[in-house]
Amino acid sequence: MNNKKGITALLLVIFVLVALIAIYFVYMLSQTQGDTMMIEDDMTANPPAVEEVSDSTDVDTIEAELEATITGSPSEEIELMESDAQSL
Amino acid sequence: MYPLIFAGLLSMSVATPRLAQINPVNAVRIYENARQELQEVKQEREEYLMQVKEQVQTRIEAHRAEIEKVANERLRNRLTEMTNRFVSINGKWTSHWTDVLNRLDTILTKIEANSSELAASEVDTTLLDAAIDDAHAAIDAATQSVQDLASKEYIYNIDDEATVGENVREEISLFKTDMETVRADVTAARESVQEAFSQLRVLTSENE
Repeated sequence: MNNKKGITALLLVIFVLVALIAIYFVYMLSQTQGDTMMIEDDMTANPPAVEEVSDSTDVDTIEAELEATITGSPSEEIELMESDAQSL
Repeated sequence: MYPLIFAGLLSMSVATPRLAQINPVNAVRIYENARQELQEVKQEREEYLMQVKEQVQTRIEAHRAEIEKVANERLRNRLTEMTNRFVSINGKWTSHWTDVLNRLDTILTKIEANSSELAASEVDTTLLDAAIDDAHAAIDAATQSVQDLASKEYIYNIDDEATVGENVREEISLFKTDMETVRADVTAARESVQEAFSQLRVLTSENE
């Protein structure tokens, strides 16, 4: 009877240990994926594309091409960096 | 008697609409002549940027090697990631703004071709030419600004793990200020080209 109780307790301890190890691995995996995702997000946040302009010297065409020239801003990416650096 | 005749002729000349208009064929020809020189300027800018980035890369690699010595693995990974982001954002945006300035330069050359064609038709292009000169100066200033930014590597002190976070935050703050300055210069260049275009639009409207 005592042996059965002892085995049950031992199995319970092993089960808890295995569960703790599994939780630890899942946590570490999620952290790694989080870091990778942050890097990938950074890589995909590209500035707006800059197209070639035509050879036309027509005034309306020039106006349209000038309007389509977008300076863009990296502010969102830098704000994300600032936010992430708070926990360093 | 003669002054009256002169005044009459003068009023006739003022009242007569000017026939000067942009000849699109001539404007395109003027632009095509200038295009070769423009291509050379673009190529020089791109090559210089590549050269600067290679020099920065060497210094960044030395900094990465220092980061590799940080004992705390998690901190080491975070610092590597931060350094990658400095390099990535700086590289992407300096390339982008160089493309924007090249584009503005091409547009300005086309405005200049129209100005030459108007001047050949005896239209007074003084204001337009002054605006074109201002735009050239603004593009040159912004180009210098972009190249200066590209030459910066944003390296921070990692000697003390306790203060490294603060060092990174200070570097990000400096990076942010630099990026905002360059963006303002590129925006100013765009606005100056816009001003030159507005002058062109006034002249072409007057001569339609």
